[in-house]
Amino acid sequence: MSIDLSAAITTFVTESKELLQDMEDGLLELESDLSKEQKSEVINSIFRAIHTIKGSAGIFGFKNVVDLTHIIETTLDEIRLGEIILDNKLITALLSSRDVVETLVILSAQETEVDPATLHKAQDLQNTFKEYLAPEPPSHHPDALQNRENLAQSAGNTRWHILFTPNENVYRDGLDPFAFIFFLSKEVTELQVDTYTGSLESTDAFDPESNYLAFHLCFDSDKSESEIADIFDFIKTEAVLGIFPPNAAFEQFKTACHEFSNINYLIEKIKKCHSIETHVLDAIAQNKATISEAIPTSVEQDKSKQPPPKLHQSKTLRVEALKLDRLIDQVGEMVITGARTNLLAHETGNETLIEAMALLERLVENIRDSSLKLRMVQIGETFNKFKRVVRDISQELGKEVELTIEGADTELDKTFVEKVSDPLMHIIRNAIDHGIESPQERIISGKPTTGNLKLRAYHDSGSIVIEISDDGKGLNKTKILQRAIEKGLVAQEHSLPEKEINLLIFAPGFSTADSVTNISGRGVGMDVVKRNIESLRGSVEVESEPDKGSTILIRLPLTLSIIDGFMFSVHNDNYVIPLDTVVECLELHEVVAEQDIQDKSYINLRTEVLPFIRLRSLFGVEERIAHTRESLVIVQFGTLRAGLVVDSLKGEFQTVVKPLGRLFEGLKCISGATILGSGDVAIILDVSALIKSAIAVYETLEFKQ
Amino acid sequence: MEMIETDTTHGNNNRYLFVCIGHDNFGIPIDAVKEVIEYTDTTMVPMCSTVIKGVINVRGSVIPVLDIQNRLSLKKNLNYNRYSCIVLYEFIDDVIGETVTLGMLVNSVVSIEYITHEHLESSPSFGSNIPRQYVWKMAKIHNRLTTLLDMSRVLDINEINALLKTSQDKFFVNYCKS
Repeated sequence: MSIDLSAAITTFVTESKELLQDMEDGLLELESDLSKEQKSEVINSIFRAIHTIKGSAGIFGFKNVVDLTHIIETTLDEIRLGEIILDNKLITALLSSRDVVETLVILSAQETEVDPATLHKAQDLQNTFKEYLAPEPPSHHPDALQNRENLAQSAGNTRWHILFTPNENVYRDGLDPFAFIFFLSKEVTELQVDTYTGSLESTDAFDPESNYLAFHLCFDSDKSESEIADIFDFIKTEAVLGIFPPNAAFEQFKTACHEFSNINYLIEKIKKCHSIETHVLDAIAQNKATISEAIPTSVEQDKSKQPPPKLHQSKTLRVEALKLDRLIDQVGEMVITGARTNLLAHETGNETLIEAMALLERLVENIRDSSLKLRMVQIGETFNKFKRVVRDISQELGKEVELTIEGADTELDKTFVEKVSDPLMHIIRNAIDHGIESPQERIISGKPTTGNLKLRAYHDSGSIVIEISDDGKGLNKTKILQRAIEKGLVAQEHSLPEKEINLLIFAPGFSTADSVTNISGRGVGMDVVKRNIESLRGSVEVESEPDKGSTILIRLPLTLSIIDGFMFSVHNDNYVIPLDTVVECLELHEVVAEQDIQDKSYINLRTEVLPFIRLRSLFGVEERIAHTRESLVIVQFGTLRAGLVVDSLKGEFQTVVKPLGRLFEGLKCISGATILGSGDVAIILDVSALIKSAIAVYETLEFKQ
Repeated sequence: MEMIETDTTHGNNNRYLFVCIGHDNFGIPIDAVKEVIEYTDTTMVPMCSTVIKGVINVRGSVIPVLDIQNRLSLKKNLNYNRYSCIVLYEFIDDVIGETVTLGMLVNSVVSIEYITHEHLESSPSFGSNIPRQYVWKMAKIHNRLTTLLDMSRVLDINEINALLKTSQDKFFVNYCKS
């Protein structure tokens, strides 16, 4: 029989990745200061993670994974019992084992041969763990000894016990408890049955159809718990059933005993079986929390024996990204069609219809907003990944770096999260390698030995800002400029403003590092940063102060697919710009007379200089319209403010961004297209790129002159 | 104008759609032709080269339309009229591995022809009115020679993209100089 396991395997891989991520987070958490209880909770959760993976891998028969996870599990078990002391070296080993497990899981799932390097690594790790696990006389650790003792403090029963209380209505439902006990008697040896008839005595009106009996069954068997439970499978919904294999947990046993209607009677009967020590039973009878109050630690032991309390009740639903994309596409279509229907409704002039349409439009807007929110994820998960990166790189470079994370709950589009992760990695590597100094240097410059690297995310005027700042030595501007001139990126005599010098670090192939290390220095990474961010319609800024550190600001738009737009027209065609870039709109002739802007492109707006671009001329439209009919849209992007002179204003517009495809890729000023209610297409302009390109061209022209 | 639905189920790779571009007829392999729609007003994409006529809305997708007369660098451009059509051509972009649809604005659609191996002639070594890289073969049908276009070259996305970038820069320079 062959079952298609591929779907299950995919789930296994995703789940394992998540669990391994939890494990990594946990391990890193262990390095910080935690109380003993917190530590043991974290170790427990790591243990559970690795245990789950081992279990699932076992189902699919991924032997490599099982082998490695088994030894990790054993090690972790010893750690939580206090047999092994968790030191830094062990955490490192566990971290790398996490990576190897991930590789193994992925390779096994793809049914690919595991490469010898990974196998070797896995073997190495197994050996490392074995060293830790090497038998050590437990008496060396007083802690461990105690734990061993605690372990023995289970209920201490040597035989099986079943507490079997059928419901009152069991006969009416056509079930006979005796049949089950009879069957059990054939399956096990030395069955002793005690029937409790207490409830029969206490009742006044006897109903012959009701059940008043409860049973205590005691027997020997080498069957597993589930096999025994199977015997009672049919009646389990009609009875209270407590099954206790030999050496069951005390706590569990106690609770079940108390569920039994008459505890004292039960205790008497169990005593007669001589399988459980008397003091244990007394403890149960007196409803004590532990077997012996004299050993307080056993309380903890009992707790840890219980199924661990679930920390995060799962409130999330896993949905395939593709399905979500399709939903958002459809919502986009709905927005467009809604706009069209609205237009038609207005044409008819039917008031009720128009009102109904307005209501519908509002609903559509709500649906749009909520469906877009589905794609929003918190950036915290991405940020947390860098804890490991920071730890590894700083250790490799012999630097002390602490990563602070702020605004982890800032939400942004899933697509961004994926694409922003790579750039962040490069920036962080660079910050640690070039920015933060070695502890010795830091002492000399009077800074604390541990460098601080800060990741921060927040919302700012319609965009999301991700800030990466370090308190290192800052950018060396002279060195950057010198390198740039050497590489021919900048002409020797040309002086650059500070901001642009900083941006040179993003130029392809640019590096100030004297030697190429395996962390940075090739000049590739920062180029990737800039390109990735720009492909998301974002921008990068650098601020740096010598000896104080540098900050890199990544600015990203909130979402990719549907935006609030502002529409205007230029020469019969409609254009849309993101609404949140628009500061204000004015009639051009109200702010400036025609003769004042004959030969220049700036106005004096409330004593502020405001340069503008006349889109008609930029788009190469020859004919001009009367000055009085022109409008001015003032836009702002970051600190950049400028005006756009357009023909007429059309107002706010729900814009579904349609990609223009690869044909128009890399065209700086055009970020997409949208479909209007009339079915016409409008081009979405990228305002910041438009203005920046204009500035750049002006500058090169000036430079040539 | 009626829509001419293409029949791709038979997979006749020897069928060609003959269209009139400028004064001449050209053949386009019909397998990749998704549909032919009437010429509607296009939305101009600002700061683009004349190769791009504009973009249109086809059932909710925004599709770029190429002015094929310009693309083939024909000297005398005819105006488009009510016989003009937009041929939607579908192909797989190797770079991203996805299907791309581009519209080609042609002066008119002429016919669908079966072309077998014996109809084919090699392209003239010189003297053609369009750049040689766009010509795949010549077809001798009804005693007339018709150029069969090499569509992978005519609709070379990378090349057109580069062209657009240069022309965009030109727009900025012109604006800033004026």
